[in-house]
Amino acid sequence: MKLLTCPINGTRPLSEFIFGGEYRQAPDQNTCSDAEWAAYVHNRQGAPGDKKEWWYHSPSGTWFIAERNTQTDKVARTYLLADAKKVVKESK
Amino acid sequence: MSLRNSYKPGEWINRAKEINFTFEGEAFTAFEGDTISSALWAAGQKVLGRSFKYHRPRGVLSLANHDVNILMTDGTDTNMRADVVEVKDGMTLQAVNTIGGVKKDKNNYIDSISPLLPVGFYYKAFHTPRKLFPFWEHMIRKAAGLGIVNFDYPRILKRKLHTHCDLLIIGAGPSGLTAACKAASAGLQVTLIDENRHLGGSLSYDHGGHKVSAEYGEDLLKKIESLPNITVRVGAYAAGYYPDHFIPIVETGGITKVRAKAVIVASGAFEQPPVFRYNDLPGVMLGSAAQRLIYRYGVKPCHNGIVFTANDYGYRVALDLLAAGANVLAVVDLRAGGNGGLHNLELCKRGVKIYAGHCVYEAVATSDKSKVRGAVICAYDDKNNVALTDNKFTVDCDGIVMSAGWAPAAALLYQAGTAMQFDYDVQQFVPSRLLDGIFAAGKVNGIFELDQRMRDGERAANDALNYLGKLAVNTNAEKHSGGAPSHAYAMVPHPKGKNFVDFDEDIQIKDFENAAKEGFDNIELMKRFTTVGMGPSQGKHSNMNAIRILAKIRGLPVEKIGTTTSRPFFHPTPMGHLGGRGFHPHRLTSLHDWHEAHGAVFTDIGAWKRAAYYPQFGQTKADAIQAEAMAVRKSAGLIDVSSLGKIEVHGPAAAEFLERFFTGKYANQKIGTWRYTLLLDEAGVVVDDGVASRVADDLFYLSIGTANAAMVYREMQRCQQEWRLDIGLVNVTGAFGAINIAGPAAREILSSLTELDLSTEAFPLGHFRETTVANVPTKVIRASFVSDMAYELHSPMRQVPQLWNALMDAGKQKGLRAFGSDTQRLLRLEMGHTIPGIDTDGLTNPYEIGAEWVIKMDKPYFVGQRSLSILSKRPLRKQLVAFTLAANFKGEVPLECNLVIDSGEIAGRVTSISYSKFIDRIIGFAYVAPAKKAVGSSFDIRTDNGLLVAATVVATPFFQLQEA
Amino acid sequence: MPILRVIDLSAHERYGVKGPQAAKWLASHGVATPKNANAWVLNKGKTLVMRLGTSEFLIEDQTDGKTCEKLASDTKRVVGVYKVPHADASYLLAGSEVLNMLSELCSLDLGESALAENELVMTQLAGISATILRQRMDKETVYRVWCDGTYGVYMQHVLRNIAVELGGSVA
Repeated sequence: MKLLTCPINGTRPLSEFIFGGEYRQAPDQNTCSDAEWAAYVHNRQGAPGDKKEWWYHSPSGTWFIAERNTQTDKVARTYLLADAKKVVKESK
Repeated sequence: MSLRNSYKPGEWINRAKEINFTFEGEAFTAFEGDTISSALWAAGQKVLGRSFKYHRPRGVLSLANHDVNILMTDGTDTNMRADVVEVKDGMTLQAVNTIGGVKKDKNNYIDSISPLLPVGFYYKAFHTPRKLFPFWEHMIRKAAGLGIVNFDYPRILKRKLHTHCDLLIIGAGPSGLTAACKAASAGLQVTLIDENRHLGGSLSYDHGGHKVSAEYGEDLLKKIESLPNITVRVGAYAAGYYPDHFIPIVETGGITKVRAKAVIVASGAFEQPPVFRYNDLPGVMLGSAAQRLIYRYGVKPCHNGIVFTANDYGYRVALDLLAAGANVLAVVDLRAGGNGGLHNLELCKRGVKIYAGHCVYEAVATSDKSKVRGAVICAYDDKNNVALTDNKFTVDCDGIVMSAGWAPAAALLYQAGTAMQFDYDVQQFVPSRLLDGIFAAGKVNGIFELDQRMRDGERAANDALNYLGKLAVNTNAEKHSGGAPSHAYAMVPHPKGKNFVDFDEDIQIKDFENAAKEGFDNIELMKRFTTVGMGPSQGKHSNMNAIRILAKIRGLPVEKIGTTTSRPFFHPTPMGHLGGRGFHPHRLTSLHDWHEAHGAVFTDIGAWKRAAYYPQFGQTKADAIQAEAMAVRKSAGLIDVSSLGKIEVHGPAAAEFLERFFTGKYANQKIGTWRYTLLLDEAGVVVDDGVASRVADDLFYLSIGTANAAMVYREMQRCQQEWRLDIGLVNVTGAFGAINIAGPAAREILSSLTELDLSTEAFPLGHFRETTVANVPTKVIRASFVSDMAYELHSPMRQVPQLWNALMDAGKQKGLRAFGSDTQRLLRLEMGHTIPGIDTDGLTNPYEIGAEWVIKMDKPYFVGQRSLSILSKRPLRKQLVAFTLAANFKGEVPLECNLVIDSGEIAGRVTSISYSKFIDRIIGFAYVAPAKKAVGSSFDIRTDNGLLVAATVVATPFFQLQEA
Repeated sequence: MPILRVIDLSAHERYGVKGPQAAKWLASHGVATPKNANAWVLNKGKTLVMRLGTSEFLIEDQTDGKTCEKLASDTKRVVGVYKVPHADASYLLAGSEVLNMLSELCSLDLGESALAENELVMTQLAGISATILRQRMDKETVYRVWCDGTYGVYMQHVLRNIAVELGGSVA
């Protein structure tokens, strides 16, 4: 079973986690067109590659972001959404 | 005549303990530690089983856990592998897959009609006429399968455990043992496993007539014993590889899931048979099988044997046969220039005739076809792979021992995503790219010489140490030198066939040729058409030969053919192991004991066990539900709704959070009131509904449907990650219980237990109060889900029984009775309330269920708002309506999910339907075309039997029907 | 050392609190809290203070502890301090076979070398969410387990079955 690292609780088997879908920024709903909104809601980029994903550590109720390559299934890093800016800055 | 030799050190049997057992009615004796096969072979019993398809007699082949023609039953267990299962005192054994025993199997006629049963015959033969297929299916099913399932098998809860280590080493042969010593000496926690009963692997049997390897083995075992940080598990096989080094280890007692930080696969190789006519006769066996018989069990494979080899290994085996006191009448080497190196000289010295560039053209059977009595030998053209039969001659013998090469036991490596390449120097697939933390050593890595295997084990241990961040030297990888351990094409064609490639499924060379002719010339297609590798041994001794044959047929190099996929489990694992002790968590409310004592029938809703209804005096389910519903309508009912999701939203921004999360408005909600909540997803699809009670300016108390509670709370937490409002979410689902008292007498009953003023003026619908009821702190919510006169009481979970019992006592005289969740569904239907997930599906938008009233588009934002702004501009495609069937409707009552038909087209479906005794009508919800939504319009429902039933749209609540 | 003991401690008093100001609020009530996330301290030997994640606390009075009662008496609502009502089921597991038992219930390594002193883990036990810690109690290593009280009957059943199978006792 795959392991995943929760930024608060550490490395755990995948059975402790719930997948929350790809993390995507919604377009500004006040300015975007209907077509843009529909594309955001219904279309997903299925090509394998690096994705940001929502994951939930169930026993502790922790949502976090995992950067995972969907082709290799390797997780580059995980962090709380609130720390996203910090993480991006550190990696630069 | 007994084939048992005298005692030799290192053997696995205990001669001090004799064991008695029977095989097909005949009495045998064995020693403790014998396998079933070794005991029978020692006694001269050579027909041990019958093959799966042609019912040909079979004996020892590998003695390595894939003699799958030799499966036994002792009456309790079945399909026991006789080559490895220890014989126990008092066993009464039968071979499976025979009619009347191995000697006189009544199905042996099938062998004589085998030309009529080529591969794939059943795909073609039983196709037409269709009518006859059930008959053929019955016949085939009877013929297929091996042992018979014992339905009285005792239920034993096998444990499934977890364990952890730094380094898991799979295989305890010379490479694995050396690796374990090295890694443990450097301080790693090592788990070493081997499928055999004893450590050592080939060190315990591959001696080449000498004892050097045995001495190496003794040294290594002593060292292993002295290292406390090595955990040894024998009689344990690694059943599969799962991501991040998660490996289930299967033992007799159950499964242990090992999580390792690194893994060394030192699983060795399976010896592969050369293919020649009658290579399946009892007495024809693999070289390593002969060695195992000799050294592990003190059993002579034969008296007068011939070694048919296509590599140098056969020469070692010949020396072992001599050491066991057998005569070796000839070493027949398929290779034109083959000579066995150093062993050649020794064999010549001992007078063994060596025929290089020769083959065993065919084995000769005794008159009863039960075993080998000779071998026909002739020259062999190693270039064109044909036998040159001009000068063939026959040698009488009672054993043919064969060595042609090896296939790596690489299943785990494949499962771990290892890239394998074909190495022509060793004529074997070897790992070319291993994933992080996985290492291979020994034969599976293409390393065959003993000293090299030990060095390769040490090298792998060093690699693992480096990987785990321990200082270790980098040693160079070993490289095989000398002749290839495997022959490129050890096949002897024969015009009469019966040269078996797959012993599991009786597949011969010509079957592959025929499959290719029919177009199944891709390895995956060929596998499925011929069934090669699909038997219980899963191709452990046949896949490699199949690949070589296909390569030859297609004129391609072996690596272009590729291999079939290797899937877990590596080895058949008993269902009882997989079942084991499972965990089936369930949540109980604090009233569970009461429900049980009062005869409740329970239903599973999410993880909860809920009381569905309480049948009294043999009532049917329907009667019980109607009676409970009537009590609610006529007097009062009490239901345990503790499983409701309950969430507190605290903080200055609590109202804002609700306004973003739900469709309604909460900022202006008065303290002491509740409002309906509707949750959508981003696409505007209805997800869930519930009730939000405002406890304080900065505190809302939410109740949410049981089934969706966990998901809704999770979604709230996720939204809060994005919105970061000044709130706190507290899930109190388990901390609070809830009960609902409903019906015309509810107020009177409740008022006797609380000082709260329950008058409509003081406490109208839409309000809630915090008070005490029966001395229990309680939130009283005046909701109308099941009745206009109902109170939902929320209290600390442990105090709910106190509340419940007090209410029951107080209501006894008023006809109060408990009702269950099934009754609740009828009651809410009568009230005209929809339930998300029952009356909606994954595409339903709020307009379709008439929920416009709770959608406040003038808010700046809520989840799903933008999608609704698009949906609201479009015409509706369907509409949920309340309907009734004709009064006194008789006939087939439609069911939930029956279709609504409009002019022959599907217009919608029934989502809820029930007879209501109170209203005395059949009522329900259904989706219809929007044009049909007006009260009074009618539509048709198609029943399961295809009848069209007319339904009429009505207004809710349904009570108006009764009044009309 | 006994083979295995399972003791139901669900009846202990508990108090839960969470929020960005929770640690400060507890300090103002004289409750010392662990500095790190997912850690615990035993205050004056009487009150177990567990830090669940970063900003949530579960306080459990052991025999003679009175902290929960004291905290509960302060009903004033403060921004950033949210009371978390608890109705947990709680068990103490001890004995020579305790790790054997836990290895069937939990996929994590809970041995002494893997689970640090004063560390707390929120994980799954017998398929449900649970909080686990290891404690020295009267010179004996014991494991403490908390789960939602509505799973209590289930958890009790599972623990009892395994304990009996391994030759232990259940109180």
